[in-house]
Amino acid sequence: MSKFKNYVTGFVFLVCVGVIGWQLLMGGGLVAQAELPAEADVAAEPAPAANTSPAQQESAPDGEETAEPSLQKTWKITFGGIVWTIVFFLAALFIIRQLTHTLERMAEFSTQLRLTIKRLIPMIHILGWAAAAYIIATNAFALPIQTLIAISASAGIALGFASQDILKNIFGGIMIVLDRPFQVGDKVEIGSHYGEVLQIGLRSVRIVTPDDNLVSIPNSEVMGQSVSNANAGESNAQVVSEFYLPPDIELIQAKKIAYRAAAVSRYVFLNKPITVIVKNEVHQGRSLLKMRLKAYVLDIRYEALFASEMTETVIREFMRAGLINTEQLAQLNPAS
Amino acid sequence: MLASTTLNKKMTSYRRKVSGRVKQYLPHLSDLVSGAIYRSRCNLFRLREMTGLAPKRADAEESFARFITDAEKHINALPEDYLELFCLSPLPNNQFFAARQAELDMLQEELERWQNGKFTTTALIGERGCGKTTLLNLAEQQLYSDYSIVKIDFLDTETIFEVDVLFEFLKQKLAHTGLPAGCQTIDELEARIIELPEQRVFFVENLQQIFLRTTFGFDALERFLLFVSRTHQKIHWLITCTIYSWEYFAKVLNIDEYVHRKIMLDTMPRAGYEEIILKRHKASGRRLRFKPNPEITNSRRFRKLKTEKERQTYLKNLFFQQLSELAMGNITVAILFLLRSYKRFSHASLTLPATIDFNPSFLYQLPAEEHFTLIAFLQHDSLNEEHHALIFHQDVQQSLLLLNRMANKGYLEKNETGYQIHPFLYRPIVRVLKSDNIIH
Repeated sequence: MSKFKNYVTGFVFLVCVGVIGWQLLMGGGLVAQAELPAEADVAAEPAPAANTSPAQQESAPDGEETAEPSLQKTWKITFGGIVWTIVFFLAALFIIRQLTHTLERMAEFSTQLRLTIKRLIPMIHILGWAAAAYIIATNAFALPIQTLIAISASAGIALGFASQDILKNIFGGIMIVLDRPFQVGDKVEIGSHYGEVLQIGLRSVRIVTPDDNLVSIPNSEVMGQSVSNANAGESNAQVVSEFYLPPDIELIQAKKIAYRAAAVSRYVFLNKPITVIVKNEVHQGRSLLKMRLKAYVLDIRYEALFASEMTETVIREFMRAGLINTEQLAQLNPAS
Repeated sequence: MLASTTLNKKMTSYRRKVSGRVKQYLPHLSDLVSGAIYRSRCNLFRLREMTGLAPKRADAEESFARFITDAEKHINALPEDYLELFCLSPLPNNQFFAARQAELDMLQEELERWQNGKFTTTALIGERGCGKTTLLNLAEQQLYSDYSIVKIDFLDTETIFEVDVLFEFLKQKLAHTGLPAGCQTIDELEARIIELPEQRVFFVENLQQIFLRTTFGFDALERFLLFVSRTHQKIHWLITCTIYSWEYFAKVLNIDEYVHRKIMLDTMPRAGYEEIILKRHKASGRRLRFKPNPEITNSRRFRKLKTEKERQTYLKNLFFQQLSELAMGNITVAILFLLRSYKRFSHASLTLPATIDFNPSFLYQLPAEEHFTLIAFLQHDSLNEEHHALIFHQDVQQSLLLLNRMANKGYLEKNETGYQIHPFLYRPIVRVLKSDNIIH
């Protein structure tokens, strides 16, 4: 817990440094100075204060006479504006990447906190880029908010017609982040793909399958079908191993061995119950017992290893105890 | 001319004043700057740790290995009489006994209950080195002096997990206690004990030694629990077990239902450590002094303290606070850190630092197989390579390689029957495994 406190303090510290740095940058008039050459062109107007951005000047209570020429100025794409756009863009890219990288590294230190930390990442991406876009528009180009809305609306209509699929994906991505049917780090099944969610992006969701393939699924597709989530935000998840057994097997001993096989595994999460369920099934006229061993894995990443270890231990111990032999095992395939 | 002379005089006077002030404040300024640099470096290092950008694992491992190597030399440099006072083996009497009176009172209550014919099997649960055996020694002298006591310590043998081996071990331990001899099976032993005319007290230590975390490794433990349940009317059972084994048994075997009372020895307030350590230190007849490091010397809070007595109290509180955080209820660990951390020793005094420089953060970066091995050691206390191989379904050679590797790095230490976790790392390992969701 104390490590978590350290992480939180570190994160808060980084954010504070970022905010203070930004305040210094803005308060120091760096942006406003970049706009000064444009201001100097307005010969009839009094010189604005050095640390006031054009957007602020526009809202100064000078009446309509001063507001109108200032508005005209903002429509100019200046060299300074372009330079600052590039600077802001690169700064945002650097900060967001560093923050993501730091959070990912911090997440890997603790299984318990991994999912909590990782689910912050998509939120940071969306908020970070939205803030960067706003800052560029209002400070580097000093667009008044009304103009910004007008441009966004007309661009939105144009883009909307041109790129319906992309917009569908973007809104799908936003809906996934808000609705949270799954989060980064969860094990999900979307359509025919099963794996760990690596990234929830604006266009697609990326998952890593147990065979280490990276699958990108467009957000619109994710929104259009049912999604199965194995762990729902927790680090543990249920794993089921199934065994077909002959109907005359010594069931009491078999169930005890199966329970122990799960309980002694290095991957088991013992705060949740281990259950052994036996069902009778008829396959091609033969009656077979189907044993389902259900246990929770302590970290979703060990899911496959846990299932494999349970299967391996159960079969080995059944054979050691003389409950089944190799011949019976070969005949137990329900399809045969 | 007069004005010029006056001006010159004034200038000279100002110059003197200024140079006097500079001379006066220069040392303070130098202290201030060096303090600020030191604090910035500390904060930078802390920031790197907080954000997970701490030094590479190899560097941290190297520093830990140095800490362990130096520990032996450092502790061995202390005089014998002092080391005897801080001996790590259980206390034989109440001379230095402290901070566990509540637990002793609970044992008294259980004894009274048993004398009234009620079910009283009691478990003393705590980490290795937390004082379970000391408590039993004290209980033997103060509470059970009227009874015949039989002591069985499963640490006297290798891990037992077969019923036959358990029976042979019990037979051997009960041979010279006046209990029925010549029994052929454990059932026969049970029946003969139930028929005994007098009642007895049994101290059973290290219950975790009669199980192995494999599908066939619970038989001896289950049989022993049955033995305890069947004989409780004739025997007052006091069983000790390490905490992580007990928690595992509670989840897998429901062991809590086999005992009437669990006495947990897992926590101790800061004052408890202070009492235990200062009691022993006073017996040495030496003065105890605390030396601040530059970070503390530069802190505003420390500088505000006027008298030496106030400063020493402040430093003592800092030291014991950190010691209690490092030991977390484990007295052996606390004593080891105390002996490792002293700065200076003479026949008249012992100087301790205000803070202990120990950083085991590299444990978070160990590979998963080492984390799983460490939990096996927490649950079994001591394991050899054969048993390790059985637990992890691998060949003995693989286990031997892994255990030797971990022993070389100082995480494990070799004992007579196998390996066990190095006491300095006991608490940090618990913290790491908790964050990994492996123990809770």
